[in-house]
Amino acid sequence: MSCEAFQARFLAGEVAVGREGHLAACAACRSAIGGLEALRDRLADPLLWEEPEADLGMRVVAAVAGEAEAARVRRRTRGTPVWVAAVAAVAVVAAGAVGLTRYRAPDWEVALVPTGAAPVAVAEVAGWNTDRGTRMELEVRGLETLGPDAYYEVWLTSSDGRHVSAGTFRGSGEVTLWVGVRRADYPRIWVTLEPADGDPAPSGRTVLDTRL
Amino acid sequence: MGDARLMRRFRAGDPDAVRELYERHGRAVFTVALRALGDRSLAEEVVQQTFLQAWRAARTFDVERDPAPWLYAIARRVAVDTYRRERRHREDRTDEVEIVALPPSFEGLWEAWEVRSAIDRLSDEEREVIKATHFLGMTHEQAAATLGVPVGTVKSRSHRAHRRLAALLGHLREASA
Repeated sequence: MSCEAFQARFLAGEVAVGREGHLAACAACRSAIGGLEALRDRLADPLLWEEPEADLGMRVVAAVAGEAEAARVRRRTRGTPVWVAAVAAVAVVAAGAVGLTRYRAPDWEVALVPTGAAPVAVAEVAGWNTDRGTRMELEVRGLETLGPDAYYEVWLTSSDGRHVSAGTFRGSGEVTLWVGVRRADYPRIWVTLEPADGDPAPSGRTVLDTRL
Repeated sequence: MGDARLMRRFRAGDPDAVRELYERHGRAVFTVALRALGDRSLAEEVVQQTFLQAWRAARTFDVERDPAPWLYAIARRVAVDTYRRERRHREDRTDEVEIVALPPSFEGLWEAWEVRSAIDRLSDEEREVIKATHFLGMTHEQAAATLGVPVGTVKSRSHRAHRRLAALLGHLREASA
């Protein structure tokens, strides 16, 4: 048996030390045993197999592309008279230079109303329809800042009751959200208070909701 | 797309390049952040900040180099900053200057990065078998029943996957030997 095949079998847990002829004859594999056992422990670690939320990639792209576009606008307008800069910025936005929605007027806006669970909270959502889904900017005031054991989650719900999570946040402020569905198909936007218990379903503790 | 071309496009803020860099390394960044902080929400925040900071620093990055160690270094630094911020928040402290020993969860982050990166380089079928046998503790027979494929297929995928992992992670074994 080759060293490569032996080490693969050992890593897979298919050979026992002391009962394998290759090991007795091979110093290189004997010295690799400790590292392979450590690697086996790492492969069994539950944290290693945790996956991020499916929309995280989209949020990363939006954040970086948005900042890159802002930098481009700044570069183009640096050192030019104010009125020229303003015209240039408007032109870039109007042209939708990279297909981003960041500087476009929102396609829709909606105010969320508080429930009894957060009676002083108010929120407004501005949304942009894109060919990949919907980008939203949520501005919330009056929500308590949460610790590590809980978070707020934004949901969109379709007319037939299907829920899609748009993202999470921890307290009042502004947050950008992406979701891969159209607002026209998912008219209800609402916010829940979620315990950090790993359960992906809505908790039922609604703090803000759409007045439909 | 090669690394150099990808990084040139990433530097320019090309959304497709950002998406591809995330596809290649985003899960490893998430694994490092989750291991360090133990909180999914904070870990996702670290992922987003890592890619933002990488983009801001990309003009000084040598595109001929492998971006993985560079991204890891940024991810670890963002995780440390996030840990310190959260600690200040929990303890209701306002002083910005502090020297805090990092908790044990910050040890072994590079190994976690490397193992997760190696797993992400396996095919979906190979990764399923590794997950079933190592994480879920299944036998080949149980994995075959769960995955709906013959036992022989599980064995061949397992052997191929373990060979690749042993080769990809040989440097970790040498370091720990």
